Amino acid sequence: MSAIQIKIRKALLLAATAVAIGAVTGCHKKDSGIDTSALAPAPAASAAAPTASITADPLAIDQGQSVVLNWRTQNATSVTIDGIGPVNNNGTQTVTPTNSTNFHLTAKGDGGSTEANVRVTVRVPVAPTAPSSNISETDMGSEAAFHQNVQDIFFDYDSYDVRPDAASSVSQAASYLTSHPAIKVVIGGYCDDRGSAEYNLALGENRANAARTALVNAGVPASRLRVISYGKEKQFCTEENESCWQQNRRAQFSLDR
Amino acid sequence: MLHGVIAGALVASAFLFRTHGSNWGENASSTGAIQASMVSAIPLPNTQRTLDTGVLTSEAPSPAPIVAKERAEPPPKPNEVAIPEKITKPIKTAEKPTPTPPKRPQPTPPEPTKAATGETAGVRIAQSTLELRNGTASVSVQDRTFGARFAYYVNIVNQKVSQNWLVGEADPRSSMGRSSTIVFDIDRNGTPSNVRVETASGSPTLDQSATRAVQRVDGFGPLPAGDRITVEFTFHYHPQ
Amino acid sequence: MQYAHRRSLGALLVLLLCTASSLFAQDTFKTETSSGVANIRIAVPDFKQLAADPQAANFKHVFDTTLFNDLTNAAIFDIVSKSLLPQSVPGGPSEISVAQWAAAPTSAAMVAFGAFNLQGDKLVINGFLFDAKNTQFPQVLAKQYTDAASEDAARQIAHRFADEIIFRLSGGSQGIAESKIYYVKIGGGNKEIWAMDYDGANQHAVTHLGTISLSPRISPDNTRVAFSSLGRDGFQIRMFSLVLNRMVNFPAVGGTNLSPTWNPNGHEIAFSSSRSGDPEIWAADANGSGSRRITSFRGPDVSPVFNPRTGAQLAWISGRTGLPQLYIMDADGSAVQRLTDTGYATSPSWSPNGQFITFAWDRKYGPGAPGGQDIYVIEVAPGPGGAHRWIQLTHDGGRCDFPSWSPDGRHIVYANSPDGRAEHTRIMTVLADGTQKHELTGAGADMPNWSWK
Repeated sequence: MSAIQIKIRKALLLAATAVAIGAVTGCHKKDSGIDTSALAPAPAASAAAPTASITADPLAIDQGQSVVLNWRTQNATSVTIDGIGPVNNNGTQTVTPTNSTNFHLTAKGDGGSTEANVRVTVRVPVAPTAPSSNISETDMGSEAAFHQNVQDIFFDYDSYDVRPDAASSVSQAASYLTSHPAIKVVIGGYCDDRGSAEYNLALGENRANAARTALVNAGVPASRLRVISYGKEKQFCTEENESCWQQNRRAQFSLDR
Repeated sequence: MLHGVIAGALVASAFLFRTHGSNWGENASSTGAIQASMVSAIPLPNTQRTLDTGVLTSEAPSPAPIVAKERAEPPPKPNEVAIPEKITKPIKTAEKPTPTPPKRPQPTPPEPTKAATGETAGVRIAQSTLELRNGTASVSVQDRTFGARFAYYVNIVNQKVSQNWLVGEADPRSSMGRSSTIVFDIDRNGTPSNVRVETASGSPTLDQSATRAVQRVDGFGPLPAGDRITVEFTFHYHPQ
Repeated sequence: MQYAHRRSLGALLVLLLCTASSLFAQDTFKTETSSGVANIRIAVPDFKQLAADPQAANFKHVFDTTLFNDLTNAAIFDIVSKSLLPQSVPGGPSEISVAQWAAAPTSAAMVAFGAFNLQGDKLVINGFLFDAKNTQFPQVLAKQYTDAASEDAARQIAHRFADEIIFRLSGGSQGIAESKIYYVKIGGGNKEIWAMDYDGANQHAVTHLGTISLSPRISPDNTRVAFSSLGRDGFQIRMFSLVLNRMVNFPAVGGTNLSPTWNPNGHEIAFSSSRSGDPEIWAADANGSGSRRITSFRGPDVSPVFNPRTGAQLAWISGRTGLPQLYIMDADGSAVQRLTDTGYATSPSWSPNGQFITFAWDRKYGPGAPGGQDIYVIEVAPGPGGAHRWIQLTHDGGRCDFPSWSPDGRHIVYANSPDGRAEHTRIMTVLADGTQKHELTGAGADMPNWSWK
């Protein structure tokens, strides 16, 4: 399968889904932190490998609102979406996530398996920051509030320096973590899929460490921060373009339970 | 696009950092100037017949960084020309007894085809001859019984030495029409030793190149029989 | 049926030989300074079948094909086309007249032949190597092999016999027909460690960990595979015993630990560890104890590999000056030298004789740059003028990575993705001079590592 064919197929699929849903918003808008739909063309094996795509409309909602998931697969014998379970090969479903969710679709067929992701961001009304006198030693806060306040940090190509434009996210994250001392955080280091796997694992480690250092310098105790590098092994977005690569070059924060 | 610019700037800054920084590489005394040259060939296993000269192409990937230039590279010694042969491995032991084990050669030495007494080196017939591009290589084993019984081994000795003979090392003008004879021993593991010029050709470069050809060989493989053989390698130079 | 089959095989071989000779015609390694030594011409007739069992015929076909391919792959022989062989099929020394094989058109210097028998549930194979030019004492090698009857046994015996022939006729070089390749199999969202024969046959799983395992490295004695695997605390060095057929303990430490490599002495491994923050090269005993840090310089340090000849030097990849570059140093961390100064260099593998390093290199790496990541070989010792000579082995075939030398130093196995996508990566081999590329696996195989023997 040539690269051109892949691109044409991608374009067709994307166009079809766009028409079907009527509108696509926020796609590739990286500064909104919204992930894009993903599409993984399958290997040209003897048994045709499955293809899958999943989109969400809209990609960002306020808490309490609904979003329509729309997915298409080919050559798949079983299709599952994490959190929803087994689903038809093609379909739509309305969901009402309470916090930002990564909908992960796995399509398995005779020719192998493939995956697709879409991330739905849920805007949580910014709660009035609790006065410091009310800090609870056990308050983990909500998952949504955590992601609202502790946002992923993105990196430049082949770099593990925290960019100046991340400074405000770092200070916001640090103040949230300071006000919620029960929270422990895992910082995942990620790279785009260019370059070599082993080097990217080291680079991801340095990205996660750079994010950790930034938080420590902003007053968060190092003992609350754990670092894991995923290198290019856990791609968030699998398209070959800069907006997608940028989504993958990040340090991602999650609650360490 | 913006990212391209940013990343391009990063690459550029990395380059600048490298050229200005003197701190890469912990051991300054050991960091020579880096140069890499694309070549059409580097001597790879069993294909090491290239000369040092004449294979470098003009393309160099990039200018060498301006660091630690002080240390002059020692001139490469002739012996450092690649000899990428595997180290000989120990003799494999047979899994099973051979169905028809080779006869020991000693009881029935082949009849010499010439009426030589066998002890004088005078009329020895080469047991293996190879026509090469710039001459003729021939090898004889002084133990004629061995040479007849294990002719294939003698051929391999000749082939390996010839493969390691760098034609251009001998000066064509002084070597033309001359022959150089080198004598050496091979121990039971196949390792050559005791390399010496038996009959000088009158062309020092020819004698030297023939000697080096033998010295470049790590091993010929274990002897099929016996503990040691003595080999004569003669190179007759006649470029075509 | 059998005859027709052999005919078509013969025709195919003629075609292959024509291709091979045209390749050699443009072989850049044979320059005007070549001494012009020809390869040994060897005839490899099908073995004589002694048992009239259809099962035996199948096994014999596997054996004949494997032996022929092994001797071809060794790349040190000129193999006689089967259409030029004498009609008689000798099964033993009394059935061969070497003069017939030495004469034109066969013109063989050597003949590898023998008899293939199925006795009950056992294969009994007699293999001979004869010097066709030595009518008086033609026998070079005679071996008898016995094993339980199976296709795999037929293939393994062919590998062993091929290695014996190569050992004799190459002047003591180790054959590779019995060697294995360990690699990463991509599937179902996981990556497991797999193994296969050197020719791509016999692909089978080694680990079943249900996670992402990377960078398998087989120990010099073929008893253990070191690799790194994703757990709750990130990537850690893990160890699988091929003798016990299970995981064995290797202590976990902090940080990301990856890309192990074996010291040729088999008692030590080196790897990249970020236990102290920045990823550095560390070494430890093979059981994980006694770890010690080798590098200390800001920037990622990964993918170490020992000089297999001496065990006294390491090549590795460092991003200390920006993009990753290829470096070498002594095993104690001194005498650091950089070998590349441009592009994006990764995944070194040191040749068995210690003279070369193969690695993956994108010389025009960067946004907007159309550089391809290809396999290169660089000479460790500087050439005339102090420059390190290098050659490019792959061109325009998609993304290439993870080259690994064969034990005989003549072949390189590597991972290739024609369109650059990770899931399309497959494993290929190439001769160390860049010729004779072919695929060993389909899509979904990555990070090959060739065994030491």
